[in-house]
Amino acid sequence: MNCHSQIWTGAPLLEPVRESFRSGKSLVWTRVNDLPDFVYFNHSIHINKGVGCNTCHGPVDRMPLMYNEYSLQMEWCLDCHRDPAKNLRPRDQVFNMRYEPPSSLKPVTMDGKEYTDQMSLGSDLVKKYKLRTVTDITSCSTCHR
Amino acid sequence: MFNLSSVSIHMKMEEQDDKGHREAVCPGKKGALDLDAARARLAETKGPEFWRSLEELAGSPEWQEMMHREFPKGASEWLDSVSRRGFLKLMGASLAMAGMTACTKQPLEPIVPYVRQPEELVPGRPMFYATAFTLGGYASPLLVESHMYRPTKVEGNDKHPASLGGTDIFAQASILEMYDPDRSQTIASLGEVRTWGNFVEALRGPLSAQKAVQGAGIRILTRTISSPTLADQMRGLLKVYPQAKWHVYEPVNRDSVLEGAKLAFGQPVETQYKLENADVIVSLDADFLSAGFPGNVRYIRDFAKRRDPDSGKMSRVYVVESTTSATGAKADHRLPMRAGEIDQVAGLLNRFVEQGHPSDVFSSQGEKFAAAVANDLSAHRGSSVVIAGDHQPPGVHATVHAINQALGNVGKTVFYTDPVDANPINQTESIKDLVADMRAGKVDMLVIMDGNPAYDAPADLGFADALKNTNIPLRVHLGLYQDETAELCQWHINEAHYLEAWGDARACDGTVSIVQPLIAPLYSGKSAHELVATLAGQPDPSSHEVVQNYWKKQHSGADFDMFWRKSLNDGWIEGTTFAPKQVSLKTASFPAPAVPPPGSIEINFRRDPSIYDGRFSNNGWLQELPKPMSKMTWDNPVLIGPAMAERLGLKSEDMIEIELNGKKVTAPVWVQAGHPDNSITVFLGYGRRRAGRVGTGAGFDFYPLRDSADPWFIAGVTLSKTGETYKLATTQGYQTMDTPVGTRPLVRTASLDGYHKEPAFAREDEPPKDLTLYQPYPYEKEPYAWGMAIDLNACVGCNNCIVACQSENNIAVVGKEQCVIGRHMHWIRVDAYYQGDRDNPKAYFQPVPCMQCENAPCEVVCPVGATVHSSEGLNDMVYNRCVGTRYCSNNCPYKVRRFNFLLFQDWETPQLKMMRNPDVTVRSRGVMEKCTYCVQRISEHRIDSEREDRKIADGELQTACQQSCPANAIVFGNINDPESRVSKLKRNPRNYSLLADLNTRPRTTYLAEIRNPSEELES
Repeated sequence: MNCHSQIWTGAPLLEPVRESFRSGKSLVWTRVNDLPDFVYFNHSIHINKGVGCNTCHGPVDRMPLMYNEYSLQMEWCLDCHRDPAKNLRPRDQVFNMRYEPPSSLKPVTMDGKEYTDQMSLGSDLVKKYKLRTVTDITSCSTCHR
Repeated sequence: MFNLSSVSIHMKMEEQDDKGHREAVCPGKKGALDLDAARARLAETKGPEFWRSLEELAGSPEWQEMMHREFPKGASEWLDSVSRRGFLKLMGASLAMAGMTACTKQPLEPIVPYVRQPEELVPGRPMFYATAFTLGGYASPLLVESHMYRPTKVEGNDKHPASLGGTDIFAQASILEMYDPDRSQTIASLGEVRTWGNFVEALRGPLSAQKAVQGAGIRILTRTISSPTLADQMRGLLKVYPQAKWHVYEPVNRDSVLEGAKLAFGQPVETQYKLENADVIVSLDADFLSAGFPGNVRYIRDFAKRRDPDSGKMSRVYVVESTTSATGAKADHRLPMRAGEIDQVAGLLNRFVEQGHPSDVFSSQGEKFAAAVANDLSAHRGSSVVIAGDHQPPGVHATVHAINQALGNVGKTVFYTDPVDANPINQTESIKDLVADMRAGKVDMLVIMDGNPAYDAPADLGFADALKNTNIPLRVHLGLYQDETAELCQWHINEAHYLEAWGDARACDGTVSIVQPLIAPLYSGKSAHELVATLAGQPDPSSHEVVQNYWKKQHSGADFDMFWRKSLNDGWIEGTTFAPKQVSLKTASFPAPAVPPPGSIEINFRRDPSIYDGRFSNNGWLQELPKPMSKMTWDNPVLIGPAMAERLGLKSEDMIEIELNGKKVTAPVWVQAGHPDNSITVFLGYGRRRAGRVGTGAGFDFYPLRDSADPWFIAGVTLSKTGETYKLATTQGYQTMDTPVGTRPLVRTASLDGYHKEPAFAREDEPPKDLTLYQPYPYEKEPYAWGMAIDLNACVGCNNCIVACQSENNIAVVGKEQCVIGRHMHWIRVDAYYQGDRDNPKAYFQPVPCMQCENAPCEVVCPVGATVHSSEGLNDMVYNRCVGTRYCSNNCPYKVRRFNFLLFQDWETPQLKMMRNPDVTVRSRGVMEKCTYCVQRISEHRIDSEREDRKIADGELQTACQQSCPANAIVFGNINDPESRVSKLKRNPRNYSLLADLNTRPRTTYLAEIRNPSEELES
């Protein structure tokens, strides 16, 4: 136990976690965000390129019980892969659950420049984080092998 | 979902219905092979210049028929007795019930985290640990890839001096050996499952009784041991029981080498070669390029380096051999000669090197060859080497030592060290003594560690009979399998595999590697260290403690912990390499060779190229691995030469009875081009009775013919036809790229002089790049464009790439029945092409992976878009889209695509599930698969490099075949980087593509093979 040895240590809801720690038996979770076995998904590259957590997982910090915000079907993945610029955010905002894409009311500053719309921020991020081209990331072997 | 695979397994094959059908299925595999026609075609040069089989050479009508098809007639049909209609009827009901729901929702899967996750583990990222694989006492240093603490792939340790990163097929296939579901899983005594505690208890009485007689009744039989720790333990045991005896026996032993060294130098020495310094290499029946020859991995690397025709120092190789082998195939000049006559050639060489040849008149071909070779050797004193084959008699070895000394090669291309074997004794004498003691009733306790003498001991000793009928009170067997020997022992201890246990071993140069486990023993197996420690009276030993304690005694420096961790990290122990030692020839005269009677037929016993001596019988990857020259799988037919076959009226697949000294074995025949006349070769290791599901019953057992007096060759066998035939599964002849109309220049070769005169001889004019209906794509603008160059000069046909690919990509084993109809699944194949006289042809190897054509013919014809092109130039295979029309493989001119006709993958056995590489899909029935340039490795390295904001360095990303190739023949990399090794090789004038005139623009290209013939022998 890392977090729950310090947070909510006595909460009855977390009894299964403490029991698992005591007995050494793993907790069996049901996977919510799951892809089929023929898809080889790498998480780290998405975080590295500036895809935020809630972009794919939804507002998990406000979910009492985890659910699938998006279908995670191939057409949904391709929707971003065909135009990553509309979903990118600066790396330091990736873990920010309350991040809002830049707007004229709430601009986002990066590298000293102020952005008021996602497309210009996104296209600069594509260059800055050296994303591969759309043809590259929509090649079948990117995910299927 | 109804498991369709279970249906195919349970269907019975009706024999009588099948037989007629089968004949039609495989034309050309049997039937009249007209060797006369073959010879005639060669004589008139009407036939193909390069041919893969004698059938092809003869141009038989069956072979012509085969050329029209990719698979033989009926391969894509349902061969079982249940008709297609019947099958659908059976399935129809269940399909309706399963409900054809579209895949909209994934079935729920659990995810189970660690409670306490090990610090260094990142799930999904493999880790690599250094260890070593031992065969015949010689260690191969390895780095084993481990996914979530399950070893999945064996790689070479590229920093280790003895191998420089190469491995051999046995090391690669050892992963399957560890996960073999047929491995012994318990300690057993007389058929009952027992515990280790039970065994220790059972030892108590006998051991204390033996203490009283100083161990006079104890005999321990081991295989060759080089492990310093185990040898030390054995000597310690012999101190506790001074009258006990340690016997050593392996069927593929090096007694002749030992005796030869003792004859020449008076002491056992290890002979090592520095082939990178050799301008002239002469092999007297030494297959030094094949797995099983000590040090072969390093020798392949050094040999390949010296075959570079652009270096100005290309070596020249002469081989005299008694059977066909990969080393003979790579020779510039090859002389097939019976094993018993090679002694004379050695003598002639010795004489000619000293004195020169007296005249220009030669009384035999052997003499002419020897004279030319001697001239070349004399012209290269100090930079030549003569190597004698392990199975040649001691006299030949001694003569060869003398020749090397006379030429001044010692210290330059040849050097001597202490033996790697920790107990170098004559093993045949050792087991003879043991059996004599057994029959005399002197043995009270026999411990057989890791051997199978009931199957492979010399036949005249009758070891199995002695073991069974001499009433030895306590017989203990330690082994990986409950094999023929375990059956006859009261106690069987299941052994821990080297990937599960601690130990140590010496490589061919003496360097010690610590063997560390990659996984806890799957079945609580015990290692030899634990058994010997228990026999010596140590309570509850662990192999970790035993090995570590030994090295604590050896390590004189202060910080043992640092030393231990460094040795484990590097993969070897610093300072253990043997230094060369000075030895001097005791005598210059050696026993006169025995001359075999001229008309008699000689039989050669050889270790099998993929099964070795029988220990790997149950390894499906090795059973299905095509042998280097005959491309045989699953069987070990008797090799005979074409001339003798003609004389005796034999053709391939005929059954013959071989009689030697009153013993008989019946086996099928294989006519092998290049095999010496009046001689047959039989391979050991098949025909086992208790090997497991895969090995039992496969092939033919020739050990009953093998006596202790002449374990390697003897003249005087008689052959007689039985009139029956036996179907053999060979991959030769399948996946041909030739056409019925004419052959294509697939293998391109020239002599060194020819190459210097016309360097670009191999290039043919490719059609212009824009002569295509395909859309052009600017691959040169991408950061990476993957390509591969295969240097045919370096490839020695060792087949390591095939096993490595099988291990990395979860390729299934299909079994003999399926191999007969050409359904083997190897993604890379090594074709062997012959050229010239069928009695002594030249041979060439050509590994063929997917060509990854830029204008791929397979991509346009897929109706569902399952094979498309990636932006980096890879021809992608998307298994989830494939519906199995097989149009792509029909259209592929290289025939590199493999189809899953049935569910070849095992989805049930838990051990095999653990073995698989999680980064590669396990394919089901009905999908096409092929080489992907190891796209999983490409993705992994690309993602890592992008995260670290750098480019992938050349050489960092290696395909499985490239990484395993001991010769560095396969080079893969980024062709958009002009400085990468692959780009440089593609700029070499020898570079050519296969079938370039089809304008497929393959990314895999070849460097033509150059041979370096001597003028003296060519004329």
